[in-house]
Order: sequence, then structure tokens, then C-alpha cells
Amino acid sequence: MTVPATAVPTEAPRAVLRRSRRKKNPLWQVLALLLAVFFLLPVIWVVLSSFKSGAELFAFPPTLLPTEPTPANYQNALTTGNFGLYASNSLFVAVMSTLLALFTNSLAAFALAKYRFKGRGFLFLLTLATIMIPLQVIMVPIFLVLRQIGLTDSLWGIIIPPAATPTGVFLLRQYMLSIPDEILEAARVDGASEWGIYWRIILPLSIPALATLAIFSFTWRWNDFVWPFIVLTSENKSTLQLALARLVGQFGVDWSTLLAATVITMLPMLVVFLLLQRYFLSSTTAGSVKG
Amino acid sequence: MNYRTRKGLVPYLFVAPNTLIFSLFVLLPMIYGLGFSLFDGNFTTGLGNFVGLQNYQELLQDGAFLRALLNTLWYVGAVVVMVVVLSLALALMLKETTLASSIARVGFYLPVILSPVVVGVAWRWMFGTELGIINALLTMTGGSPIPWLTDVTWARVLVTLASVWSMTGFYMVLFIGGLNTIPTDMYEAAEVDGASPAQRFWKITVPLLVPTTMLVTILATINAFKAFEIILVLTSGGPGDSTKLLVQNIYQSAFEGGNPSYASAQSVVLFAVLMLLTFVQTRIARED
Repeated sequence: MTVPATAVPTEAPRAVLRRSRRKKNPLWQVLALLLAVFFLLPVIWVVLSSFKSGAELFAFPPTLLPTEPTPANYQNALTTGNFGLYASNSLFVAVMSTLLALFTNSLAAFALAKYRFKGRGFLFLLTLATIMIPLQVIMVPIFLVLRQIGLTDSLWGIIIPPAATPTGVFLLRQYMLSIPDEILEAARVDGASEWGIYWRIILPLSIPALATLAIFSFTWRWNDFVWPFIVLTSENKSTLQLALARLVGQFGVDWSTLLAATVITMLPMLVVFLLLQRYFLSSTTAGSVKG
Repeated sequence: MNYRTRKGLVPYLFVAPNTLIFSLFVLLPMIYGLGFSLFDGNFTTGLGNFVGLQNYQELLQDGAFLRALLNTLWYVGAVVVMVVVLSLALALMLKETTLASSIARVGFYLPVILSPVVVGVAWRWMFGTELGIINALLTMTGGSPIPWLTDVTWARVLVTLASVWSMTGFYMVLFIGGLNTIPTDMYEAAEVDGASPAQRFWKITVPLLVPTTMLVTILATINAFKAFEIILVLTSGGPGDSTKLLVQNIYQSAFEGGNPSYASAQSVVLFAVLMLLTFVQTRIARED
């Protein structure tokens, strides 16, 4: 292949290339932003629609922005639609399950990272292997197990079972491996108990990894549909996801309530995401975390 | 108990809570499900009689199951191909960190943090036949409304697109990570040697991205096999059972048909297909 001489200046080609690379094409940047907005249209449209009155919602031709923005749909969803109760159920489940996951996963991760014991390799392999198994594969027998121990139609039935997240154990173990053993040895010499070492040294030092797991665990549990769907039957124990799906499954969907309820359901996730986006958008955590 | 044995027990006590929950709610159900698929049990009598492979034989002649299996394979194939292409394209577009690309990344990632139910509602609100904005726009511009959710082909397309939309941002992040591990020197050297942008893409980017692409393909495949909620909200598996996938069929066999044994046999098949595909994909990755 021949290259025109002008394409490669003989004097300092590197510098020329660097300069051209640094020069960002503003048109390209604008295009990327426009594409992102286009991509988000389904979300934007739900939010805009949720502030429209019933009449405006079904008007033709449709309006882009609500002409008279009203919170009526939200008041409806929270009071008559009972979405306040569902939201508190969802919050309870997500918070409790996350706390439980942080506790049990960090204990296990500590043992796997810092102790030598028989069966350690096997337990770790098992953890890795089950990262790949989706809950959907075992939903029928899980229901049978839960029924046998009396956890069906109970919020604890969706809090306890998913707490032993293999991804959580994996993530925390990798982080704890980087904590030097000398710190633990020094603490032992000073008379610290093994529990004291876990509670006073390992946990505080693992806060970045614990925070990552907490954010992901909260997201998974808040967004969970399959667990509540198979475990819960009572209407007053519903989570937001379950209630939303029930509303949309009805004949003649009540869109004005449904749209407000949808925004209520996604709002906490939007806040968490926008505040903590670096956790989500970091490829190192994304690669190891998927639940 | 002396100090030595107490210390020997410590790690086991630490792993105990996690292992207990894990065994009770993951391991036990897996074994339980495998066993249950060999019986003719139901929810009231429990296990019932041992029937061997009869449930599996019935599956081979069960039109509803075979259609769901075929739907699933088509759906997974389409979703995975589209997700890989789209997330790689976005990653290439946004790999350099500028203010605009950082904001755009947040935008493309956002659907990932939405629950599948919310995704389903949002798409249904846009593509509803009578109230949807898309059909309203079509009517206003002189076109005729399209029965997005009640026509077999359109329903399949829409279900696939909604799923792709909800996953792409996650894999975009993985691809950006993969792209950033390729040294810029290589591109600069190739540019100096006169390689065209297309050559640089096919000769540098593509080969060096194979590990990331493999990871994305495997994760996207597993994810697509789990699909249930988005479709439940969008079409409930319809029209007919044209968008009904395996997971929904399993759910219906167990909880609507009251046949957990038969549902367990389907779960075992789903698991086997999943493991086989993951195995094949890792093998291909290793040979490359």
C-alpha cells in the first residue's frame, strides 16, 4: 500500500497526531448527546405524561409538555392506589436484604480471604459456579422449600433467600485479599479476638467494597419481580414491582395511576444512580457484579 | 475445647450463615428440582410417584413447550447479536472521556437501573395501539397505526427491542473498559504506517477485544434466557403464544397448571441449554 507523502509529515509525526487526537469534533459530541436523549425517550415520555390530567393524557393530537401540570395522578396512586404501602414494603425488603447480604457475605468473604481451612477451595469454586445460575431456573423448587419452612406470603421470604449473593462474596473477597495480613497479626498479638478483627479492622477497611455491594444489592432487591411474584400472594404485602405488573395486567389499564406509580417506582433508583453513577459506570465493578 | 480447636472452628463459623442460606435456597432447590422432575407430584400431595423420564418424554411432544423453546432461542439469538453490536458501537463512540461523552454514557446506562417491569410499562405506553404516542405520530404524519403489540411479527420485534434497550448500557461499560486497555501507541503506530480507520478497527480493535466480546456474549446470553417480566408486561406472551418464552412457560406449568414436576423438567432443560451454550462459548473463546 502506498501512502501519499502529505499524509505523513516527515517532521515529528507523533506531535501532529497527538494534536489531531486532542481536537474533539464538537459536532460528534452534540450528536452523542442527542442520541442519548433519543435513547431515553421512553423514560422521558412516561415522566412527562404522569403530570398530565386524565383528559390531556388521552387527547388527540397529543401534547408534548403537560399544559397544566398536576400532581393529581400521584395523589391518586399514593392514596387510592395504595402505592404508599407498596413503596414501604419495597423499601423494607431492599434495606433488610441489603443489610443481611452485607453481613453474611462479608463474614464469608473474610474467612475465604484470610483463613486457611479445609474446604476453602471448594466453597470458593461453588461460589464462582453459582454466579452463573439464574433464579429463574430454580423458581419452582425454591417455592416448595419456602412453603415447607413457612416463608411463603411473607416479606422475609423475599429478604432471606437472595441474601447469600455469590457475586457479593466474590467482590468482597477480592477486596479483602488486598488488606495486608500484618495488620491482622498485629491485632492478634495485641489480644484482639477473631470476631474483633472482623468487626473492628476488616469491616472498616472494606468500606469501599461494602458500599459497592450495598448499592448493587439495593438496586437488585428494589427492582426484583420474580421473587415477590412467586412468594407473595396477599395484596397488602405487595412490593411496587408486583403492584405495577398487576395494574398493567388488568383489563382496561388505568394509565393515569399507572404512570404516576411507575415514576414512584423508578424515582429512588434514578436518585441512587445519578448520585452514585461512578459505581455503576466503572467497568471494574461492572465486570464482577451482575445479579 | 482448647485454643487450637477453637481457632480451627473460627473460619467455619464465619462462612456458616452464608453457606446455610446458600445451601437452603440455592443448592437444595437445585437438587430438589432435579429430583422432582422424575416424579409426578403436585403442590398438595408432594412428590407423588416416581415416573423416571416420563416428564421429559412428554416435553418432546408438547407443542406449547417446543414453541416456547424455539421462541426463546430466536429471542436470545436476536437480543445477543443486537446487544453486542449496539453496545460496541456506543463504546466506540463514547470511549474518550469528555464532558459530553460522560453525560451521554449516563443516558445510555440509565435503562439498566430501571426494573424490567418499569421498562415494560414505558414501552407499552409508547407503543400502545390506541393511546401510544408512536401511533399518534404515525396518524398525524399521514400513516396508519400499527398494531405493535397484537401483531405476531411486530410484537416479537418490540419485545426484542425493549430488551436490548434495557441491557445495552451495561455492556457498553464493559466494552469501554475493554477499549481502554488497548494501548493508544498501537493506533498511532498504525496511523503512521498509513492504516485506514477501517483497517485499524479490524486489525487492532477487533482482535484485541475478543476477551471482552466473549464476556459480553456469555453474560448477555444468560441474561436473555432469564427474560420474563418485560414480556409479561408488554404482551403477556401473546398474541397467541408468539412471544411466550421458556421462563413464562415454566411459571405457568407450575403455578397456573399446578404441575411442579413438569415445570421442574422444563427448568432442567433450560439449565442444560444454558450450561451447554456457556460451555461452547468459552471453548470458542479459548480456541481464539
